[in-house]
Amino acid sequence: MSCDECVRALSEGDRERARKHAQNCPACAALMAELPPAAPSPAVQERLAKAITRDLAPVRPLPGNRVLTAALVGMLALAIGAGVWVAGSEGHDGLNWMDRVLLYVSLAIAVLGLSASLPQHVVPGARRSHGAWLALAALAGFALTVAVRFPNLTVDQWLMVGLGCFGFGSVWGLATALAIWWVLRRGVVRGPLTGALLGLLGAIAGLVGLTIHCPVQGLSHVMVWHLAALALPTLAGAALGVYLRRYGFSATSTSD
Amino acid sequence: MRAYQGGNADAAEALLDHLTPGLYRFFLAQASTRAQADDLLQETWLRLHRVRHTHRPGEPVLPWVYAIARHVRVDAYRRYARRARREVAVEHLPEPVAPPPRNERELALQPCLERLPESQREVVTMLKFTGMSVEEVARAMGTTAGAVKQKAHRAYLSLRQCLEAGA
Repeated sequence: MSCDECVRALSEGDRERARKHAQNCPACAALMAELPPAAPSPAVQERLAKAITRDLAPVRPLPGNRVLTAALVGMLALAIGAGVWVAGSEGHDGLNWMDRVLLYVSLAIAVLGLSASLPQHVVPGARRSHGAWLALAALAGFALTVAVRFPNLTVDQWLMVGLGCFGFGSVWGLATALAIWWVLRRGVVRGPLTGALLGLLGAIAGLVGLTIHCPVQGLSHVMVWHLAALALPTLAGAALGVYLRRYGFSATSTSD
Repeated sequence: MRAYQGGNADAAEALLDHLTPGLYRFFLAQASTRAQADDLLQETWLRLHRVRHTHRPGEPVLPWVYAIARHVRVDAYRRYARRARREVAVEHLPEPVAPPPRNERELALQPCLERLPESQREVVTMLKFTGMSVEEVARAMGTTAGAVKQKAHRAYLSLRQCLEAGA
């Protein structure tokens, strides 16, 4: 039983009798005096009350999970659409319908899983979802699809072409991650895990963009360079989380 | 909580009065001195106040409060560890002030509590000193109810063995 449960188990009469006894019995009074204090000193409490009531502007609570998830999915759709509008969709044109279904469904599951999970990571004490694990499983499904269905083509200047995709996908992912941070700016980004998930979601947008845009559909090219583009935004997000944990509880957490 | 978010000073003070004893006991069970517990309590309330908008109406308050309290405690521990790495030991230190006398039961329990791994000590403190349920403690710690029950079970076994050995 906890202390509160013990107190609640007693009737009001018993509690009153116990209180009076503790006051009059020297042994019990001495024991009570040596017990750890149940509350801080009045000076500390007064200081706290002043600090809190001095700045008591009304604040708008964070939107619910569904609203934030929808906002994240909308932001990702915008980021992907903007990138494809700039870079083109030769990759999509080169895929057959089965490849499109398998690849896009796994990427959609990854996006939805992380978009549903992240809003809970930025609220202290929120119930955790398994969306992040679903997203990782979906990415594994994407990799499996590529491994099974893409031919191992010989690509001229494999390294240079690959670095181009890696750079383009990473920048796309980083830019999207920044936009995601803006959507979640009123939450608490605390620690490398939350930061990494935020970065990974941005990186997945970059991967979607590369899948739609990149006409080089060789197994080694996609498996190495497209998937490698997930790394930089994820690591950047993790570094951000470490920074915020160390230097500020949440630099993004505002009541605006 | 909603009134507090709306800027109601009475609601803020009522929340302060209601939550502070539990928070204080939580920190006292983990901190070395009353002064440290006071500091952790103040920092926790300042953070709670700053991120009060992150509590959503309809959600339980205690997991939100204690998740933030845990972050404060972990951050303080990390700051202390970084400072200790930079400090240089000196030969002569002033004599420390003798701690206040304690009753026998407290003398027996406190060392046993201190010997527990940090996560088990946290679980026991939250379950027994603050009156939170297993589900609430799981949310505050960002883990599952099963993991909390397992930690609590191991903590109680260790405490029992420790107290029996000391008796």
